[in-house]
Order: sequence, then structure tokens, then C-alpha cells
Amino acid sequence: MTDTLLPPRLLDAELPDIATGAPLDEPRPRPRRRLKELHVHLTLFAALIFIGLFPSLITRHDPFDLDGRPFTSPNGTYWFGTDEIGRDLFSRVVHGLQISLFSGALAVVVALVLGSIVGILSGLRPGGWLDRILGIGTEAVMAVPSVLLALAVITTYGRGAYVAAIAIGIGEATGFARLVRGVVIQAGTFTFVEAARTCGAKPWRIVTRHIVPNAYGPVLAYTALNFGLAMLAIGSLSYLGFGEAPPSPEWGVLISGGQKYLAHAWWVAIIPGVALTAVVVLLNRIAYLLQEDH
Amino acid sequence: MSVVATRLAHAVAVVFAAYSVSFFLLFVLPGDAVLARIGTTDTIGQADISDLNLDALRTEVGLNDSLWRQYFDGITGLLHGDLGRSLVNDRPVTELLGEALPNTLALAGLSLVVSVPLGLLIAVLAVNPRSRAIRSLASLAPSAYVSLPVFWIGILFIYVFSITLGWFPSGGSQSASALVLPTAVLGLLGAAQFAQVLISGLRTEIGTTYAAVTAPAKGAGRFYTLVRHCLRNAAFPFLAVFGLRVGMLLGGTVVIEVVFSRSGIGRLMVDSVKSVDLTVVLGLVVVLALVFVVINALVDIGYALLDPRLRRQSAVEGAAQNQEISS
Repeated sequence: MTDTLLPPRLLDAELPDIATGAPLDEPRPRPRRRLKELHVHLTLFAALIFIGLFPSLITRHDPFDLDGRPFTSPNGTYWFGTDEIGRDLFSRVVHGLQISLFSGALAVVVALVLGSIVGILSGLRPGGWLDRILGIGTEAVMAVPSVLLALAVITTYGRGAYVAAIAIGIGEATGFARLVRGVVIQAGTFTFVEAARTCGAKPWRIVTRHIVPNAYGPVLAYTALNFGLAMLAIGSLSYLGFGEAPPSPEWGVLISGGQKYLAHAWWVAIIPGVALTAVVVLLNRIAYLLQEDH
Repeated sequence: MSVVATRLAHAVAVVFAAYSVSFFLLFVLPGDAVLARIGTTDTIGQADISDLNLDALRTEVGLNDSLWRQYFDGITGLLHGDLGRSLVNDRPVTELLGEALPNTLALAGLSLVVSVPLGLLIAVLAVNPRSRAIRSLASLAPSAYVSLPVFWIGILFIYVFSITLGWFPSGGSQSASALVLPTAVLGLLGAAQFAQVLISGLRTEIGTTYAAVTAPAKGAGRFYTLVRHCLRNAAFPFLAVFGLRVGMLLGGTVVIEVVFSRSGIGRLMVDSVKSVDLTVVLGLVVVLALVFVVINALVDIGYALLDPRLRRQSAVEGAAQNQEISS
């Protein structure tokens, strides 16, 4: 599942081997176009983070003020229209970005940290007792559907986007654990790791100084991918009523609120979904480009 | 034979661990378990709680027993196939599950039946045709589809096919036509995920010597090579994803059942979490973990059927490794 937005041979065709002069089976130098595209996407993402931090800079209306007529369709003043009590939908979507983006980030940080710890511990001595125990533990968490796991955490700690984010992070940590374990095992076979071990370096030093700098690539791509997945999952939980509570402009809440009025005001439910999709597509594209780089 | 025994022991361990993880997650961490179990302020007002004799209630549901005692009772019940009674309406959990399961199985099964051939078709379209436009369209479509929020696609489908076109009902679980839209949403999602794995698998395989040189040299056409030679090799990551997919499908049905207001496992899950009906939640965990384990075992058998080499070696070890590499 690491492979999203597979863009096809198209790119290969646009960068013919003649241009680089490299024979087919040797790794070609990093295609510059791809790097450029990555930079564009990262800039876009940085802009999103900026908007997420300061949403009021680009909105003209307050997300909670009832300053329009209910169900105004999208127009010049209310770009995304207004909702059932006349709040400006554009402003609500922009303010919702903050919650969706940062809760997604929290989830992915939880998953990355937890998964890396488990993955490194079990990858250092594959087949050892620690590896076996952690393996069964990982599989047990995988056996519980992530939605249910999240719901269990929410039952005990109360609802909210950030609680949901931690729950989603725990669920996603299993994937990270498997990936990191594989990467660590693979890195263990590199000659320079063996050399370091022969020189008497401690396992921790080998991990931080030798394995991590050489193996973070796939993990980074997987992180970007899971960022998007986490945002989708948190949106679903909010939609089900386990994330943020209704006055909040979180996107899942906006979509579930708008579903009731679908018959005569499609934009209330549809537009926040477009926003969520756009951010997830951007993240998946970044994940893909990162993956290609290494 | 010992392979089967190991596998079985492993499966039991996973179900057991899933039960334990959920048990301690649900029962230990928060403050007052009985308040959580009879319902917090969400289900009954703050004022009503003060009148209740909490201690009597605790004894009634066995919460005054020590935690280990409760855990032990739960495990014993589990071994007898007894999942306890719902804390909200006092019906046996097994009965509730039995009522909800057929609806979900119909939806999940049907969408799997739709998604496998569709995923295959998309994958072949993404690799086989000479036209680059068709190839890139077929390979971009699945990746775009998996970036969409499932519940939002559901709403979009309701808007387009139910409200605007009026072809299908927007929800409910009675008529067969109500099954069309939810099946479409989940089936397309499955197809997109299968296609993604198959495409990358087929791309790798078609570049290998046997497919790029040997088969054409014998006069095999591109399509023939792809289907008869590459597909079997590309099926390994596909199988791994298939196993994961079934688990995710059950998760996906939660949201879809709510969007289309169908009854089923997912809806039961949401309702019992909302009313803090913990025994039902635990029962759901056990059932879903069982499904996960059974599917994984089937996937391992699938590996052995596909690859004769694995049958000769220790079958399970090889399959487990394959799965790890591809996931």
C-alpha cells in the first residue's frame, strides 16, 4: 500500500534515457523535474500549514457568525455559500483546516514514534523473543479494526479531534512498526553496519548513526501517505459523531451536518469533502514523489 | 502437521491478545467503570445519576469483583462461546451479533465480488493497451479514488443517483435496490486498492526476462503474456492486500452503514460505543479478530496454492515472509 498515485510510464517517457545517457539498468540520476514538482507541492503544503495557523488572514467572515441568509448558494460574497443558519461556509472550511491538518499531524507523529520504537526493537534481533512478542502484539492491534480501536479510546477518554488523532495514531503505528522492522533488518545486512559492529559500536549508536541516516527514505514517504490516511480517518470519526462536537468547523462535522440538507443545498456537504480530498491528494502526491527519490 | 498446529496456536494467541488489549483498554484506564458502563451524561442526565445506588449496580454487573476476576470470567465465557449480555438492553451479545451479521456480510461479500474482477480489469487496462492515454487514466483513477473520504463518496452518490437521478433509494436495509449504492461505494474502493497493487506487480513482472524476452520469443502476444505468465506472479502482493482489505472492509462498513442508514455490524458498533455498552463492544472485537485471523490463514493457504515452491518448504514461514515484504 506504499504505492499511491502511481504515475505511469508517462514520466519515464518524458525523460528519455538518451537525455541522461545512462544505460537502462543503472540507476539514473535523480530526475530534476520530479524534484521540482516535489518542491512545488511542499511549498503548497507549507502554505496550507500557514493558513492552518492563521485562518483569519484569508477569510472575511467569522466562522461562527450568522451573517448571511441561510442556504445562500456560492456567490461573490460567500464563495462556498452559507449553511443552514447562514454561516459563511468558506470561512468555516478554512478554519476547519486547522483542526483537520493538525490532528492529522498529531496522529502521524504518534504512529511514527510508537511504530519506530517497536520496529527498531524487533528489527535489531529478528526472530528473538522480543521480536516474537512484539510481532504478536502488532498483529493483535491489526486484528482490531482501526475504527473500533479508535472508538474504544474515545469511549474511555471522551470525544474530540485530538483524542481521535491519538487513537488513529496507535492504529497506524502497526504499519510503521512493520516497515521500520523490515528496514532495520535490511540495513543490518549492509557492509558498513557490519563494520561498525565489528568496531564495537553499541546497538543504539549503530541505529542512530548508521541505520537511520541510510534508511529514513521509505519511512518518510510512508509518513506522508499516512498523514493523508489519518486525515481521512479523523474525518470519518467526526462524521460518525466521535470527533469534534457540532459547532466546530471540523470537516467531518461539516459534511455530516450538511448531509441532512443535501436535497436543496448540495454545497454544504459536498464542498468540505472536496477540500479534504484536495489535501489528501496533495499529501499522497508528496508521498509518491518522496518514494521515487530514494 | 506441526505447521498447522503452530498456525492454529498463533491464531488463538492473536484473538486472545486482541480481547485482552481491548479489555484493558476499555475497563482499566478511566476512573469509574460503572459510570462508564451504565452510561455517562450522554445517555442519562447528571441528575439521575445522583439518585442511583451505584454500589448495588456495581455488584449487579460484577464490577465489584477484582479486575482479574472480571477478566478471568470474560475469558471463561469466551471459551464457552458466551459473550455476556448487553448492558443496555440485557440481550445476549451473541444474539445481537447474529442479527447484525447477515446484513453486513451481504454488503461486504457483494462488494468483494464486485471489486476483484473490476480491480483486475483496471490493472490490465493500466498495463496492456498501446494507447498511453488509456494506460495512464487506468493507473491514475484508482489512486485518485482511494484519496477520497468514503463517507463523502457515499453522500455524493446519494446526491447524484438518489436525489438528482432518483434511480436508487438513499438508504435503508430492506429492499435489494438499497444495496446498490453502498455496494458501489465499497466495491469501487476495493477495486481501486486491488488495482493499485496489481498494477505495480504487473509492471515489475512485465519487465522481467521471462515476460519481456522469453514469452515474446515463443510468439506469445502481450495480453497472453500478461494474463498467463505475469498475473500469477503479481498475485502475491495482491493476496496480502486482499487479507488486509477484508479487515478494512469491516471498518469501511461502519461508516457506510451510517451514511446509508443500514443496520449491521458497523451500526451496532457505533450505537454500542455511543451508549457505552462495553460487553457488546468487546463481543464485536472478538468476532472481528476471528474474521481477521481466518482470512489471514486463508491468505496463507492461497500463497501455497499459487506457489508450488512454498508447498515443499515450510509453507507458513515462507508465506509470512512474503506478506511482510509486500505490505
